[in-house]
Amino acid sequence: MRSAFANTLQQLGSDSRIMLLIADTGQYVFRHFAALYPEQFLNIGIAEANLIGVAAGLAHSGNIPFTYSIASFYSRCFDQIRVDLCYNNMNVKMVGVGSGVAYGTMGPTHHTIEDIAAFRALPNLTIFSPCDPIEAAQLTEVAASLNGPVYLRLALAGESLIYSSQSPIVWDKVNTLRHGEHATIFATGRIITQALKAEELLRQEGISCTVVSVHTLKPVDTEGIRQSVKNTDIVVTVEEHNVLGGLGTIVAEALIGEPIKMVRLGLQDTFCPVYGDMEYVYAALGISAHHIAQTVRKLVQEAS
Amino acid sequence: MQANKIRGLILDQIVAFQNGHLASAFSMVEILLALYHGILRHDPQQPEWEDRDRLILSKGHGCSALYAVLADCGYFPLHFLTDSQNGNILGGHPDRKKVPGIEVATGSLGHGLAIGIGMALAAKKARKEYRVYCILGDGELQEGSVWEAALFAGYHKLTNLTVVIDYNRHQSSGAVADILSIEPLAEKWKAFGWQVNTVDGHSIEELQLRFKAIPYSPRPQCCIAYTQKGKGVSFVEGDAAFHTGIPNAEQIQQAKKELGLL
Repeated sequence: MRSAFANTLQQLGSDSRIMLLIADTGQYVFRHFAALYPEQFLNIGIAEANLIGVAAGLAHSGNIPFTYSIASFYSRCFDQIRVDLCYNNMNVKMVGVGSGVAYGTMGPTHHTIEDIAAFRALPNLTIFSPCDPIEAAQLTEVAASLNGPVYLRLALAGESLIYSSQSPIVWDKVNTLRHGEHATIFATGRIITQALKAEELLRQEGISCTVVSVHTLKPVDTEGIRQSVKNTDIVVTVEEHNVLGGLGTIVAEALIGEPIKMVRLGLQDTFCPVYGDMEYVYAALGISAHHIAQTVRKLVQEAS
Repeated sequence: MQANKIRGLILDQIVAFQNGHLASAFSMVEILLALYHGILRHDPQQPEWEDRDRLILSKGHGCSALYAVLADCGYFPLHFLTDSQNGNILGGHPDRKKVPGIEVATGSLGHGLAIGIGMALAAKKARKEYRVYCILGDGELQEGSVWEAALFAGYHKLTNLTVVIDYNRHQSSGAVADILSIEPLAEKWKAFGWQVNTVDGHSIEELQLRFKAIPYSPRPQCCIAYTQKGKGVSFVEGDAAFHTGIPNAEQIQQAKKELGLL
């Protein structure tokens, strides 16, 4: 996703209003952008509060700055995001890399399990959480075209491709990847791969699932979420985020009044207790394909 | 005297609204007058004029002074200062989307300088001549984000940026020197790469002399303006209670008398 973002931004850079501000992460990733557009690139230094304030000032005069940081480090400058970007409604795009538990072995200081909950309470902010490099590229373009602050929640590198064509989504609508009858699984971000694997496992057992990518967490496509559960009363959400205030909460809010059974998979109000690679961490957190399948299976059996 | 006329407008406003930061507003009246009448290139009829100089009031709680000066310049009608606050564009901290002449909403301390840096960089990128002025409070300098920004502007030699510190020596709960001293102040800014001047913050003439010399500096400018919190009214000067205090009827009369407005 990081490379998809970098490549897309490089194309967007021919518009001299597009700028990239980093807080000393990504210098190598963006070396081509920096070489091509030296007047549009700035390494602010290790100073995230200044990163956001400077971006706000640049946007004030018509520039379109993208800020780039490890996602978890935006929590230290929440007040600058709240006031300088959101209250002032500045046209700044914050890009957070390594969200969720993508920096698995780096530990909880580098995990981002609370950003959705915190940022979705900020008026004026749009929040994107792409599931693969193609969604990431398309949403980068959309972010640049929207007028107002945007948070783009990226994973890191090496994510599987979910889509084969360019621009496969409508940015403000949820995207259904599989159609099924027995349950609906909502996921956001790279963990959608686990939801798709679970769907495969369950299909072999005769349980068919709808799988939905919720790539835009704000504004919420309430109607799309409600349509996605039309055929079923079983709903499972999957996210690399605390279940408090994240995708599970968003879907639950959208489904208020619907007669459904719902389970939210994600971090159960805990910091990630283990170090390890993606498969290991997912298993430890109970959000692997195996756990998703097990959860759906149990709900379907209970219902029948 | 122009400054005391503005202080009268501030007083009327804070009494009408029954809230505001009277003493913090009084200390920077001459700073604002020096800037708006002779230094800033601005046009009250075109608040969004592309080539205007930008002013950021980073100590947003002092906004009643800025409101008074902006209204006096003609940015919006004077009666807004004393109308009910219900439905008024003027709040306890300034909002750029509501008030003509307000560049950016402030109120949470330590934000303004970084935004000013962004504006100064934008000017250089667009090959524009406009300057950016940023007024900071002294207590505000206890915020770490100020020093992230100061380090950046000094290192990048942002010559089109001026900081004015309203050094009234008091913060919400008492004297800055008693709570968390910011001294030696001039040395700090010099060490961060700034050109530093100290000036009597109640002398419009002296302030303007300093500001006029600024465009020829090879570094960003820090103007430490020594001021008196609550300047002009004896019972407000240096009284911590008047950080957010509202004068009663008798005090209003006394204040107006001392300001030469009665």
